[in-house]
Amino acid sequence: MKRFVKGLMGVAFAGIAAYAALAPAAAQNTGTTKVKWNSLPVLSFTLTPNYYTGFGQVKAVFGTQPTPTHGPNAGPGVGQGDIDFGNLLAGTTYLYKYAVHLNVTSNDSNGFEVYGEGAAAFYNQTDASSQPLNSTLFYVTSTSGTPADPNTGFSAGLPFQQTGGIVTPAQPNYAVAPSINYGGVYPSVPIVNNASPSGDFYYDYLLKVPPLATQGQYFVWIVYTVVAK
Amino acid sequence: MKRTRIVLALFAALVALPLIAEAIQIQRAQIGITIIVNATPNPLGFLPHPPADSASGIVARATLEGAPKPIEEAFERAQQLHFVAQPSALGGPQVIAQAAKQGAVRVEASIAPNPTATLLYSDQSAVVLNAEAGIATHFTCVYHVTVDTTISSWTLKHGLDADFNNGSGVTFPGIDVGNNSYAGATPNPTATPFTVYADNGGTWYVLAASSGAKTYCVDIVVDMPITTAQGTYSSNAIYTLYY
Repeated sequence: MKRFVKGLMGVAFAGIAAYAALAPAAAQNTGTTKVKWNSLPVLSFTLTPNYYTGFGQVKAVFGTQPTPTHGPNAGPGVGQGDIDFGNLLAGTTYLYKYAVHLNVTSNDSNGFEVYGEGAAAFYNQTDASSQPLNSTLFYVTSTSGTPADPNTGFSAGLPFQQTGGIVTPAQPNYAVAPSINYGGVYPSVPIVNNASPSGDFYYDYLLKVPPLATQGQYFVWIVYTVVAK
Repeated sequence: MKRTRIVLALFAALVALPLIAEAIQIQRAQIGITIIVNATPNPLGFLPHPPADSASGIVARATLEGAPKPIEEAFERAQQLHFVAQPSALGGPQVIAQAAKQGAVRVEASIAPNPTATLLYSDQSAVVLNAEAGIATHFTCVYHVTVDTTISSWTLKHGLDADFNNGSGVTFPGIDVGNNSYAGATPNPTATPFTVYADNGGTWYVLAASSGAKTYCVDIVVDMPITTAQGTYSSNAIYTLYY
């Protein structure tokens, strides 16, 4: 029995030794494999409201321009606060100078597109009425501040559209900045179609207050989405 | 002789009175209507295809003239192939993730009623017109402009504030857009180009001198140059009321 056990152990050790001897030979076999992956470009986006000294609204007039003013929620400093037009009269147009600066940097040589849409209509918190966004709020190309912004309240702009995407949180929601889920299907026309990886874009906002707009405190969130091409 | 002078002076005063009255009219209201033109490029040298044969449902077909019969038949069969997107393992179209970032800004205003807001107003604050470069495109009654007053003598002037601009400095002339503005149901015989305030020495064109309440229907004719690049252009039509 003792001899049988020793014999069995000998066979086991011989097997292990043989495996150890053979294994390195098997590891030296070589082959090719194709590894494929999609890498997302690095994208950075900064949205700066009230980006230059002198930000604020002016009434639409020709000739000498009024001094810009703004509501209490704009600023107080450059780069801070909301785009608060302050007190406005129905049936009048106002330009908000130096409203937003969009800075985009990426490593995508194809460039990027920027979409800007309203999360909802222009909502009156006082009586729960609303005004269509695309006939009320417009954006106008501006300058960095140097040279000075040449726009007036009669400069032509393009309207913001109310988004067709899924907005979270549901609107109206004054307190929380929303996001828009486009599900990969973005608006047909971007506000910026940039062919280089990075860029700076400056905009004034134009508010055409409808003549029959009801009295109250209005707001809307404008959501910018930057998408690498 | 003295009596003659007095009569002449009175006559001159009577003649000049309306002119003086017009001259001392002051601006009472001013509005702007944004005209947005979506320009599509002109396909230079394009020959329209004749209508498709409704019986066969074929929209377009090409033939290989002079090719051997088997190749010609293969080409014709190939034209009937349909190409579809390759589905993913999950059954839907293959979607490659895109890098995206978002940011939001809140826009707000405190709005008060304006007793004079309806003195001069429009039913549209912005209009969108789709037109092809090099082809005059007519749009009927794109917007209305209303003067709502009981004043017996007023003047309404209009024009574009500037040429049409795509926001990146690319423009086409504002005078390439005409207007036919008329009160009532009958348009004027022809449209006239908008004057452009910025190009016209800072003056507006008299649309009407009238009295009481009036509403004008504005037809637009877009006839931009054939070389106009594809894009979205805008300008403001400005209306100013004086009395």
